[in-house]
Amino acid sequence: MSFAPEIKGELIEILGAKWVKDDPVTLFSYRSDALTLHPAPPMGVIYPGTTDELVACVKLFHHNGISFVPRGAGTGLSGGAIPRDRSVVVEMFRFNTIEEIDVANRTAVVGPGVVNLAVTKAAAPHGLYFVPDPSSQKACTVGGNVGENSGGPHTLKYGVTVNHVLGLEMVLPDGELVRLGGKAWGVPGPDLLGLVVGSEGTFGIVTKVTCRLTPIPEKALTMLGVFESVADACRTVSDIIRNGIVPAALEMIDHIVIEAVEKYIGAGFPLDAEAVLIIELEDLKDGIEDEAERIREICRANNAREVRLAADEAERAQIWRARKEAFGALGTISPSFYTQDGVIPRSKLPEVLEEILACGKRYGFRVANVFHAGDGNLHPLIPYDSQNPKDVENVFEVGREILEICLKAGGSLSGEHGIGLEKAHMMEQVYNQDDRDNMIAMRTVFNPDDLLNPGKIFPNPSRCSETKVVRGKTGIAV
Amino acid sequence: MTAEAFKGVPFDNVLKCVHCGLCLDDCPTYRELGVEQDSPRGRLYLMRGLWEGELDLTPDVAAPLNRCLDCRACETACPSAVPYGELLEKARGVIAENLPQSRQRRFLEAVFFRRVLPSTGWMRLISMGGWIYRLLGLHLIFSQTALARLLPDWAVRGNAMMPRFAGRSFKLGYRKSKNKGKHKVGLFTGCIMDVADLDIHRATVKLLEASGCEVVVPKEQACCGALHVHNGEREIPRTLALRNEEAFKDESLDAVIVNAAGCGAQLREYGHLFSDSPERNDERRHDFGNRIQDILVYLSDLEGYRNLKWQAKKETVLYDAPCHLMHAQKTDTPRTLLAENPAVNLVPLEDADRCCGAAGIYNMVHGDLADDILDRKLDDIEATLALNPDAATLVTGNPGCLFQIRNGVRNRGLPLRVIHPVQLLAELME
Repeated sequence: MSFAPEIKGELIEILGAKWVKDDPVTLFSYRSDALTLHPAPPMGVIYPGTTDELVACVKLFHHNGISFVPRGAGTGLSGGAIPRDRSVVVEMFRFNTIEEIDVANRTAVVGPGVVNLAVTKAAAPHGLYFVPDPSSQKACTVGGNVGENSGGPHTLKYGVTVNHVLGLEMVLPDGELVRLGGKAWGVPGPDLLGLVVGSEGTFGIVTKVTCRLTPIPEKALTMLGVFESVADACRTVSDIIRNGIVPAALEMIDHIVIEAVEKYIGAGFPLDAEAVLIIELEDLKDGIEDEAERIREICRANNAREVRLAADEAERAQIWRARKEAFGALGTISPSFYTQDGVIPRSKLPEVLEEILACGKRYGFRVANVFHAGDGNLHPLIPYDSQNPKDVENVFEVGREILEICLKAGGSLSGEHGIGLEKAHMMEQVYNQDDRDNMIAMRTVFNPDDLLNPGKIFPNPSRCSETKVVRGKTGIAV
Repeated sequence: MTAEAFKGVPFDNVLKCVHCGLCLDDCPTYRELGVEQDSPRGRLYLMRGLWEGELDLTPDVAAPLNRCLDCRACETACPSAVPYGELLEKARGVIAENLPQSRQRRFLEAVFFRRVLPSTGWMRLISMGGWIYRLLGLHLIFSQTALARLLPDWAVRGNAMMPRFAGRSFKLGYRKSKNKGKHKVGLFTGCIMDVADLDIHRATVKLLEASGCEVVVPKEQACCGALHVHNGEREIPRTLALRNEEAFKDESLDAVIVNAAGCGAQLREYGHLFSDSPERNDERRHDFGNRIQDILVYLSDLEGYRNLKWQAKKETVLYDAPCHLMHAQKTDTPRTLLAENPAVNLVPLEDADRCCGAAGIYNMVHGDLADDILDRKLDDIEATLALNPDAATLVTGNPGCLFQIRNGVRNRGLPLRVIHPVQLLAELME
């Protein structure tokens, strides 16, 4: 169950007794992240405070063949931080200092345990910010963002985490400390940095991140397009892009979600609309109004009932709060939700959404949608009753079918939540055996013994190949 | 399946938590300790485990639940509207009833919760003792000499944090309002605050009267029971609730005014307290809760207050938002009221809505952790002072926070007086 006595003794020697835990309450508490359907208790949890301590612990695990998994705030939705095979959880909370804000080079050097929003807060006085803005940004950590290659609403214009990280320091699974990239752009040879970002904690444990900071745009306009049909809203999305406009964000919210956020947040979304689009433009002051006018025309041409421009900062903030807290707000209409994350070419939005709704209906679920429409990143939310075993079973089935619909439309398994534990068993539907073998060979370069975060991204062939639902009674599902 | 210990305790709302973790960075104990079970999400997971019977009620499970400040910042952060405070208080009730308690805790219950706090007589006696104690300078002996080493930690902390005892009860000494104003309001005076730092009640009455209110102070009122509820007591505070409802039953009262955020939150939430006591859970709890108003919130709606004249000279002020106004009563009106005052130059304090670590008697029971949390607050205050050297006053509308921050500011030697917002407003009135 817990640490073997001699391992625990050595860990305590490295970290001090306070930072080594394997009591039943800790094991219970760390058995899941924000994906609660597959709880698995760890062997124990360690809380290293320095890179040296981490290196020493990793070497110990390596020598003893003990698997381990890094964890930030545990807000991940694909189970990336769930310890498979009784892995040790390496809690990175204490790596939470912002070491430097370099205004001239527009970089920030931060520990992986720093909260995403804290980077932007620290950079803001210099007119800079950290672009990746996942909905969990007020709690999730930069280390987690690197692991999952997190996106967020502003991905459309600015790219995902990999586009905003210039350098990493990380500990490999055998305890070697390596540095990738730095403050400068472009590193000769294959892009190892790009490979590591998004490796979901299976290549190494990041101990330091050099973030690229971006100037805060001179002007931002947030618009709200109100539509009578989801199809019209979808067509608007394609038309905006087709017209050569790249909004900073282009988000769609359907009427189920409108209902929920209005109940909880009250952002002034019309309750009788079928869909709203949040369209954000960020640019220089000059010309942005013209762009807004063009968007207004495109919305109207697609039968928008109303196009609203947020009058001030407060109204903007309110719209974004409604968007970012939409997942949680759904808790007010159903206690349990299963959130999917798939990507499709945006031109396919209308058909795919229809198929998804029909698929939910077949099982008696009313699927809700709130998603990054601009880059075709869907987040269907399936409400279900976690107390009802039949529902729990069905919700999985629907989740899987939705992903299959996305794949059939030429899309992919995950836009930003990662493959993790949740979708590992579906990778064979995307890649053939050769592809998968090559990817695993790549992982082997970094993580030869598969001690680091086993069972993620690819099912573990030597063990159980299929992720089985082990639902504890407390398997709260998102 | 519900665990035996939770029988009759409505707890379904724990299912509202979707485990998203958006609360984590807003939790003072998580920020300090970095441990999942010391975060709101982790605590809810434990509570759910207990409720569903998956976890056994052991001291190890109870410890993180008891380590919570009950500041409820997580409720503000939560997108799923989980009623965290209510769940925690019920869970603590179950813990207190089903787990053997420590000696300290049994003493607290038998003496402090059961005898002292509910009794005006006892409070007066303690106040007299405290007044003489300070008059003789005994508090200095304990704080400035080696004698302190002989005392238990909580006593040293209590000594440092001790309010300015007046030696008498405000409600018993109160004469009828001179005013026969437009509005008649009741003033809730509390337990400790009824016998200490009486300037706060005086300033409250002064402001209300100047704004055209007639103030009544029923003598039969009692402690609100917040300290009890936060510590898992259920039965004693229920009797206090009934006493207070009785004391303020006069229907001609426009509102019951409270100048302590923690008491205000408790008085408003008597319904929660009775939700696991079905035989006495009726509409009256709800009606009473709706009549409770924080003093600054009440003033903000009062025409008489809007017409008050203020001194010409501006005073630079820091505002610290008590958690039980901001997160429990969910109002930021006190801050905006101060910001709008022409005699106040309100300086924003970073993280003003984060707990200072006082949390009732938390700072005496979990002293070290409370110190760490207070340190963050003091760091923020110091940074703000550095940018605003002319600020000489910090206001906060809850006695616990007042004593905690006052003590911290004194220990750090910061040039700042810490008072209640009503004291500031009463000073600034022309």
